[in-house]
Amino acid sequence: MVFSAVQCGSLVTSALLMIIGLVALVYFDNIIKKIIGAAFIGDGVNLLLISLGYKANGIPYIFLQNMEVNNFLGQASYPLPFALVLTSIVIGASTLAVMLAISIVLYKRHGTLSSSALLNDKRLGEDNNE
Amino acid sequence: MNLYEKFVETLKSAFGADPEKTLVTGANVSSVLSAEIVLIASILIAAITIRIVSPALMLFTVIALILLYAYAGPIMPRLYKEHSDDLGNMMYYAVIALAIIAFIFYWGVF
Amino acid sequence: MDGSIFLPLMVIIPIICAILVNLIHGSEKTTKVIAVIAAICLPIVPLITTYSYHFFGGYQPLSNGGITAQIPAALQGAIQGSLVQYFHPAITYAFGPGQQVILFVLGLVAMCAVFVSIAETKKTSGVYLYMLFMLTAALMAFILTDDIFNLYVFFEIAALVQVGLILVSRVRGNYETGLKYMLLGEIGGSFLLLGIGLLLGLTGNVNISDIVLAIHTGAVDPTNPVLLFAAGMLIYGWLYATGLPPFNAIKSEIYSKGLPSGSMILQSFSVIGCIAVGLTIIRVFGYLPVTQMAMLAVSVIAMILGISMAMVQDDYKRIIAYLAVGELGYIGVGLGLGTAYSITAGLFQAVNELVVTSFMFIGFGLVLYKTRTSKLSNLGGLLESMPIPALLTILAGFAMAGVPPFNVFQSKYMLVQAALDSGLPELAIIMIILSVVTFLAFLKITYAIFLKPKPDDLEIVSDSLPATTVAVMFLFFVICLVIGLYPDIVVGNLGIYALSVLMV
Repeated sequence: MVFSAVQCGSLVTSALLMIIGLVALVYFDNIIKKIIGAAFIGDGVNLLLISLGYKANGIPYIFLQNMEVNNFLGQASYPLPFALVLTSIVIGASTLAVMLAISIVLYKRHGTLSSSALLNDKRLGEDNNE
Repeated sequence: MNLYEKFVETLKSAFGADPEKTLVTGANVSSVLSAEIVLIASILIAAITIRIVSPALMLFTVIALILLYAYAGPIMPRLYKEHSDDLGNMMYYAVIALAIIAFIFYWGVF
Repeated sequence: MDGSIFLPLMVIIPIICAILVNLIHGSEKTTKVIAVIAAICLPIVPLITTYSYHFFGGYQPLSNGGITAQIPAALQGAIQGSLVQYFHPAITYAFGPGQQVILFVLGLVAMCAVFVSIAETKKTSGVYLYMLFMLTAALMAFILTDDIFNLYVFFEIAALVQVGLILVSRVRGNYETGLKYMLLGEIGGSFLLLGIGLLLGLTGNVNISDIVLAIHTGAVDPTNPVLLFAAGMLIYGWLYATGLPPFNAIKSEIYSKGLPSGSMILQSFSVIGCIAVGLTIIRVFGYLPVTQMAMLAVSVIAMILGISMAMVQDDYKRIIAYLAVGELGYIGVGLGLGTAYSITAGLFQAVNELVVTSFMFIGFGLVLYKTRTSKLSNLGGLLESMPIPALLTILAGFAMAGVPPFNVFQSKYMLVQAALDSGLPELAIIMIILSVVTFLAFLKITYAIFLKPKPDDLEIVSDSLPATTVAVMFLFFVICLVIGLYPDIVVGNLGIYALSVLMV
């Protein structure tokens, strides 16, 4: 399989995004930074998906009556990844919204956004019903 | 101090924030003990399945596990602490598992 | 009337009902009526649907000749004789005997969850019911769909709704748990999508049958390292969906933060996710021994960890949660052994698990309802105040541990048989030992809650128990007993499903 320069660039970028996201999730203490890291991973995967459908000098995947068949088959870009990425972005946005909403609630309750203070081990001495 | 009291001491420091105040009942001790025995027994039995890959490796693993246990036991209180609700801990194991799976499947198959 | 028109309704009815109850949540009576009607529909629809395929938009594979769009004559020539004519252009839902059994039981569990939530909450919440129905819709789609991206979309919907279910439970620490689950879920879900994306890039398809076709006809090199990597990512997604290690800690935490009715559906997500994603992996990557080994290894670790961790907890919600995670390992062993018999056994265990774990969650939900505490050391002597529910709860524990004549005995027996047939007697021994320990862990809860003398400072709420909940427990008890005595009514159908999975 031959990759174009654009495709190679986006694949490398998506790998970098995923790695940066994982590092942010593991090493940063601030919840907002963690959430941004999580969003990075999703963005990296979306970028990878969309770059799968890219074709250098490609044409839209709509077959018109006067087109040459082999020309069309050789040049049309692949439509499926675009459709999938659209759905995936919507899912990512809603997940992000819920995570940020939860962190607002946590900040209002506890006055801190440090994950080592909020998301730590609460089992010791817990009695977990209000 | 005999072995039982030592074991109870380990439990006290593992299950409560303050070892002095933690109450460890007989039912607790016996259930932790049985969990401990089950854990060792089933891990050792599971290690025998490595014989499919290579019998020598299985022998080595089983002996290593026994030695490891003699060195690290009792393991259940430790596992309880390690198996915590802490996000950092969970994230660490999730990423380690990801790395192991990626490694095995990308390089280790053929 | 052709019964196949009901197929999409299995997903559409809960979605529409979810939207309705959310819109009209102000009017309590209407909400209740709509929710009850839709809940009763859930188990009935799978029974009246005929076995068939549903192609959304009517776009059948070209080899069926049923496509409604006009294809230019010039393109026809290029398509004829290539694999493309067998590809599924639409999202395809498949419904067969195995799916029927699983969806019927899932429908029953969801129906009971709706009833229990209406009975146990003072003011019926439309938003809560919305989430129960939405999760049910997602789970129904999990089993039906033959499209891996569709599976992912419903997977993410389910993950969001799960967080919603624990956010509304008002158990202490639920927001923290929700955020943890979402952050971990972002890793699990994203890498599952990465695996799907790589499969799409290699095979050009998201339909599972088409991917299998492309790999087995040699259109894609089965030893391509990218394909193997995709297999690894799908397995990682499977671990996240099921809550096997390393995700077992968060899964058990999630269960323990939900309301009883919520926990029922939450554990259904784990079970259904386990078999939906697991069967997908077996269908696509069944030719790779390493996938089976990985599935088996993780399942065994999950069983050992889950059940031994259950022994050391002091909170009965946690104990059931860990036991539920451990029991999921049995399903994983069934799927991982990879023979038709073992997959049947795994699916049978999944069906039983759906019923029995829900049974346990409601039973101990009643203890929570009576005492408002979940710490074993604070409880005791409840046998006097709730004798019949206590008896049913104990029987649920017997069923879960695999005591005959209940259903789990049959499925665990089949699993042990399958392990012996595959030449792995060690697995059989481990499964038997861990069943015994499940029983032991369960006896510990029973003693601490029902038999131990009542502590002086324990306050028992004097409200009478909701009759609906007790009725639901009876229903589950009857199901356990009937499946246990006549396993053939379920196993035959599931066997057909297992064979269809292994068929290329």
